[in-house]
Amino acid sequence: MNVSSRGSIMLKFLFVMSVIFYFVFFNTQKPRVLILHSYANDYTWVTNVNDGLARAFGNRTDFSTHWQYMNTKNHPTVSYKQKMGVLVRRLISRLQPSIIIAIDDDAQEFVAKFYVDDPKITVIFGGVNGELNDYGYINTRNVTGILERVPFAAVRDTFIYLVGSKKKSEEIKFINLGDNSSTVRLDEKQLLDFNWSPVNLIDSVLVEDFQAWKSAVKEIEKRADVLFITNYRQLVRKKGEERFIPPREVMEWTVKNSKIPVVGGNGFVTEDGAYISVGASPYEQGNVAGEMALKVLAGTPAYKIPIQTTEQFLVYMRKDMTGNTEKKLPLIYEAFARGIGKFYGRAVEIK
Amino acid sequence: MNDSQALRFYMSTDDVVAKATPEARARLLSHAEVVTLDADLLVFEPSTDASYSYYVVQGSVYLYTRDRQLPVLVTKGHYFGQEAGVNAVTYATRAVVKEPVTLIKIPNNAMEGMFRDNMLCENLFVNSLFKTYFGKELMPRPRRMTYEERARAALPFSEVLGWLYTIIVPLCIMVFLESALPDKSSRIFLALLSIALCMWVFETVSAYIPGIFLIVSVLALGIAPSKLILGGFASETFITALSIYGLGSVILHSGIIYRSFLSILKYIPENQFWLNITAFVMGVFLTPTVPAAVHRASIMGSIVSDFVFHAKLKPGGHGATRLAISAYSGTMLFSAIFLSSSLHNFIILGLLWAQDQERFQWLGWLQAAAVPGLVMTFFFGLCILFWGGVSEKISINRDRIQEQAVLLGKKSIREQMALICYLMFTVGVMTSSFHRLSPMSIGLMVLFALTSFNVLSREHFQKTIDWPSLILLGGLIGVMAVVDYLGIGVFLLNHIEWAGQYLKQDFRIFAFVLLILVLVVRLIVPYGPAVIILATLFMPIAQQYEVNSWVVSFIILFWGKMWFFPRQYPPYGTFIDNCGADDLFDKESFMRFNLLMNVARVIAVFVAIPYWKSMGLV
Repeated sequence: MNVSSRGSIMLKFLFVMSVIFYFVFFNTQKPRVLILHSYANDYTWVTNVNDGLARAFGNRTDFSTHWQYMNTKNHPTVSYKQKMGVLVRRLISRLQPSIIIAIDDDAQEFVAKFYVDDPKITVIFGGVNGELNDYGYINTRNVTGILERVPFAAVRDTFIYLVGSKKKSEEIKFINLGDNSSTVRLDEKQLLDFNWSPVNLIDSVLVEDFQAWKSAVKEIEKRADVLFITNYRQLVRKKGEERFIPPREVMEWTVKNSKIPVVGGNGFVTEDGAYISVGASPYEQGNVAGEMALKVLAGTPAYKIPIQTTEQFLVYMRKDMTGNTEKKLPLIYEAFARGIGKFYGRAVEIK
Repeated sequence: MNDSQALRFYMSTDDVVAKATPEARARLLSHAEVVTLDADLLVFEPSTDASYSYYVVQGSVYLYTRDRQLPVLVTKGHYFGQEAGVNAVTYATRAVVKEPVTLIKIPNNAMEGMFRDNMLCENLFVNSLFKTYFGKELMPRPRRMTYEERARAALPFSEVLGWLYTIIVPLCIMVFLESALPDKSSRIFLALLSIALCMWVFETVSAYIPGIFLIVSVLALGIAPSKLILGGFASETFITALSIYGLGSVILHSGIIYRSFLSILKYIPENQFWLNITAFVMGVFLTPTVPAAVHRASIMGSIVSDFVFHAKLKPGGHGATRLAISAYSGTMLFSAIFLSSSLHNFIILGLLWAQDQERFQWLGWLQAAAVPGLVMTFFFGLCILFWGGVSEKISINRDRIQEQAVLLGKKSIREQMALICYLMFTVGVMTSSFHRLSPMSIGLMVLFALTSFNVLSREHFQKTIDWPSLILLGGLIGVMAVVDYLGIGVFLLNHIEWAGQYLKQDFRIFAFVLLILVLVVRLIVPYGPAVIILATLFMPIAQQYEVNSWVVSFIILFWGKMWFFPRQYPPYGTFIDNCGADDLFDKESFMRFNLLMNVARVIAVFVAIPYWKSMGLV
């Protein structure tokens, strides 16, 4: 072995070792962000929130992201949620993220609220339908985020356009119908608190099975002018069953059988078959939470970032074969829905 | 002497064992057996089944041969019965103990294990057989160093220097570019790029390793999405290159090249003009088929040495030199003209805009590069006609060629299939405007045909396709995507804004500036990295000033092939190595011709500019 080859082997060794050392150093120094979804990515809401997050994060690579889905929409029992909560908290102690972005209420209830005032972790919430004090998020040093609120004012305007030609606004009556899940109960609370004037909320009905849903729809069309629906993903076919009915089936039946207009309070109501929905923007939830995370990474403490509430809403429409919905609503509704790619051209096939 | 002492003696004194790998030696020990025999005992007879070789540790043995009166005496520290080790059925002698001996008895399979992948061991062992009977050792001729090895030996410290740079340059980028490039990811990536470049420029590792290094680093540091950096492996360019490599490997190994060479020799008229034309045309045909200049150089080198022999040319004379020049020029002048003739063309293709990638597929590339190609052919023809004084008389020994052809026999299925697939590919590509299949689909179909008919067997597929180059290709396409993603292209663009000024004024002035740059860069940087660096720098700027980036990258590829010193262009070394004898042709004359061709390259580009203008490329 001559001098140059011994020298080059030493240098080669030095090079490879320093590269490996740098890789390890670089990766351990990178802040980690855990994005924790209550639901799973088979749900458009979740993927749209992720789109919003990606929009905020852009090309940034100075932190690493980890994704975790609790999948509680498909497993709504409290025992599952608790078990999942324990598993995720175990993951957090292993991963040691500096930021947890917790999306939707279950992620707060079973995971994020345990980290209130944790000196090493910042909690950023999004998609929260509940109140801040439900999770102890008031006057904390390390929690901020964005609350999700159904855009009731926009919903009210939609009612007026849909029924306004027949009745004066003051005479319009509507009833809220949903499943008996925690999300819907949280939404219901705000629905009841909202000042709906000039229209009238005359009742709110929460049911657990499809049979009860069907009779509620029939009942409501006799009593009200509009049927308002936020969520129905946790309906069973018969009492005592565990499996939920595919949401599309519920909505298809509802649209086909309801004699009064159906208005959704979430985008997926239209994706499942309703002609019109006005919902909070999932992109906004993701985007705002993402922007907040970037601020925290840049050194701003969470308590200096004010908590926000839904500002944007989206209009979702589906072609109504009778043409009624489009005729009654101002053109701008359809233009908006088309503009954001949420106008569904064909009616859902109704069996 | 006990058994372990005997074995230790064998292991420490024998030359054959000394050259074996440590693993082979350790295994040999588990098979070897120690035997002690008294005087006058028979060890083996000529009819005995040869299954053991013997090594004398103590005492001596007589070997009796039938025809010799005096027996051969084998003493301490020598083998006998080597017939077993060379896989003979029986022994050739009768072995009788002269005085009590201690022997090491080594079974055949243990010997085979030691010889596997170790030619030197085997040669030494055979040599010992020779020595036993003739009492004289054969001196093995030292291996001739290749051109590259000699070049490397001339620069002993370049590797150390290379590694030093590889460590220092990235550190400098991280420290000194902080204000110019505030985004940390971009800076880190630029530092990684500089590491790869240092590895290439100083050739401290094989050319494909920097590619792997870049992929690993980008993935490990999470600088860019993995989809992006790995995207090269899913690109059309990669798949096209893969199929062309497959086809090239079949053509290379099927024997079809040698057969065509013989058939051409059978019919060409006996004069130098035709000999040169033939060598040149063969080279041109090889160019798009074998996508590596080094491989073409090695094939052409051996063909030239055969040509010189068959035509009875004087080695080192005018005729041989002119022949070497023709063959070399045929294989090298058109490297940039055919897309499939070089890995780097594919890399450049991968860097073009999606719409341009479609436009400059095989045929489109050839069409756009046609004028420089024709100009080069013209200049080559003109120069070779008047090169190197009087023609020698040649006479081709057709009888010998006929005998060779008979030995080759009928065309094998493999050769036929290779030929059919080659035609399929060429015709397919030429008619793509008619059937609308992309070169990638045609290439893949050909690859499918080759593999399914087992013309390209699984083993060949593993061994003969140049996987390292393909990995480099896939990696570099991904790396370029990352350069774009991190905005490093824009950063570089701002720093070579001046070049844009020339572009705006007149393309010819810009070309002139590019010429000087290419020449200077190529003085120190090998062809591959040089063209990639320059293309990365100048393609965006061309785009900005409404010049098609293909033109700029083509010029870089085309001019990058200019060389003045042999170390600048390794395929030349390979060519010489494969010519057999060092003095097969006159190297000085060759270099002068090369210089002339460099001038021709410059002229070819300037002649082509109006043509590119008419195509709307400039």
